[in-house]
Amino acid sequence: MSGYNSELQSLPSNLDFNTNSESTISVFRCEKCGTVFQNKGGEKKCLLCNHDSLVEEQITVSDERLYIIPFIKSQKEAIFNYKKAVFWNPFVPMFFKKKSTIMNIKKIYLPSYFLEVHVDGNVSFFAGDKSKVKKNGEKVFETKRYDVLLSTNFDYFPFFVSTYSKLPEELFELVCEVKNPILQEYDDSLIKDVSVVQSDIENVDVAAMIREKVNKHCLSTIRKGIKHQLKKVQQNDLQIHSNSIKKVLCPVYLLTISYRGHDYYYLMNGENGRDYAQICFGKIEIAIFSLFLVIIISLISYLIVMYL
Amino acid sequence: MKYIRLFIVAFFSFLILPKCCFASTNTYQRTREKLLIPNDVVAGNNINDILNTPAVSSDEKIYDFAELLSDNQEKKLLNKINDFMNNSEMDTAFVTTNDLNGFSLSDYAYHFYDYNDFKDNGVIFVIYMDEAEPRIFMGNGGKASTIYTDSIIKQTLGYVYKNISVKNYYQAVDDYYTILNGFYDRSQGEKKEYKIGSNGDFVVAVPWLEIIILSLSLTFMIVFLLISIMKKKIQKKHGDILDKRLDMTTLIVKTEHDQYVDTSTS
Repeated sequence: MSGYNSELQSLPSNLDFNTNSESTISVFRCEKCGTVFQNKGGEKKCLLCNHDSLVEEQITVSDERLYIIPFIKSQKEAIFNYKKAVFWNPFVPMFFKKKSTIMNIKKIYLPSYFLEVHVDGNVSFFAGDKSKVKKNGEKVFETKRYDVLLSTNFDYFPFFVSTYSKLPEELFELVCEVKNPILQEYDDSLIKDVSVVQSDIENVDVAAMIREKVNKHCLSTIRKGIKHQLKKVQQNDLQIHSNSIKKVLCPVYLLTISYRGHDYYYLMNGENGRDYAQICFGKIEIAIFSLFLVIIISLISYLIVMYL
Repeated sequence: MKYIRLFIVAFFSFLILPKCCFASTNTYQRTREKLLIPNDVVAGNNINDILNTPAVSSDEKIYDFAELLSDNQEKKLLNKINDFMNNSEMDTAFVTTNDLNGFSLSDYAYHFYDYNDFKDNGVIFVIYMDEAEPRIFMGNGGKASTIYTDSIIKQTLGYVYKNISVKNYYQAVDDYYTILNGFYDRSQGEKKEYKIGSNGDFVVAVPWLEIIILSLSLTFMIVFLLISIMKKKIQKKHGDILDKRLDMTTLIVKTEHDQYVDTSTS
């Protein structure tokens, strides 16, 4: 792909960071999933996988300008919202509803970038229209081909991009999709008892991830403007600019549920309470609910036959 | 002295005999010239059947050829039968026999009813004293066939046969007409289905099989629907996040050119 803004190719150069200075911090690394985090919350288990094999080590981090969104919602609210999401669903396995499971909700900060993106440029397409026509008494397919050139210019509202790869990206996006977050400059006092997960994606990879994501979305948006059946990109000269990029610690409540070999996550935004729970359907629970429903319907039918 | 002895014998005979004396049933002789059939019956190929069918007066209602009932029992049953006929406005005949005259039990019953002057709407109950064990049959015609369905007939005969098998014929026939009356009354009222309970009472026939099938089908549909809706909700939430972050007020997509190139055929 050509035509990307060179600023995004190396994100740190676009930021107002003092990248010359570095500092050493004490972190814990999970031996199972590899998550690295500053353990300000006194956790004895991994924040993500709840594994209890943690190794303490020292790492060097650059003193980038950092922002933080403070917690507004409490853990009680997180537990309440989680219960609201799963308790009334009769198909969710009982394991998800156990008190011992729910008590594992953790208050953490997740690393991310908060950026504004602008897109402009041209894209040319091979386009076509296919139809069935009759020629010399036979039905044949006829394709009319067109050369289409589109120019575009638009902005995205500022959005978050997670730099922690072990949590599903769509989960983070759903929960941290915030229009006007309250950003404060980083201060140690704001994270005194909250563990902070460290990024595990290099800035270069983050930039590549953002480029790919935005480019894919741009093309699908532009395609809608083409009034032909078939559309194929011929040349992509889109320019993706980032107007501002901020490194932000997002406040979330995280609950990891390991059930039958799979991990399911519950995430709640610690600022606005937006949440999302990954759930599965338990076969036993479906069977119990079905049996219950059969009994209720039979009872109602019986009463109708007897008394009406 | 002679006359006194005769008087004493006759007196004691009068006291003893009625207890074992059974009612007689009047029959008439059918001939080819005088078939004694109702006006609406046409004699043709069925003439032998007509001649083999006993000719009786349709007013008697009880035709105890096998002599299973005493006079007293017949009188009581006749009252019951009259109550049934007045209540239901249907005719009836009760027949006991040792000989089917070469017919099957069902044919005997229908011929007996059809070739004697009974009304169109009615029921007939026949007890045939077979050598092995008694056999019973119930036939119906006209309006009676809509009230006394196969299921009801089966239940009724099943219930009365318990008394017939222990030779309690009077009780069996008494129960029979009680049941007929009961089903008739219920057919005029609420549209529920009834069945005979173990004590001869009427209980609502709950269609358990239909209820279970309905419950299972509805449950399957509801559970399937709920799971589908939940899955759709999950998928919907996972749409492209950038769709929501796109600032539509700034969106400009301009077609610089859209030029026709060529046409290909395949």
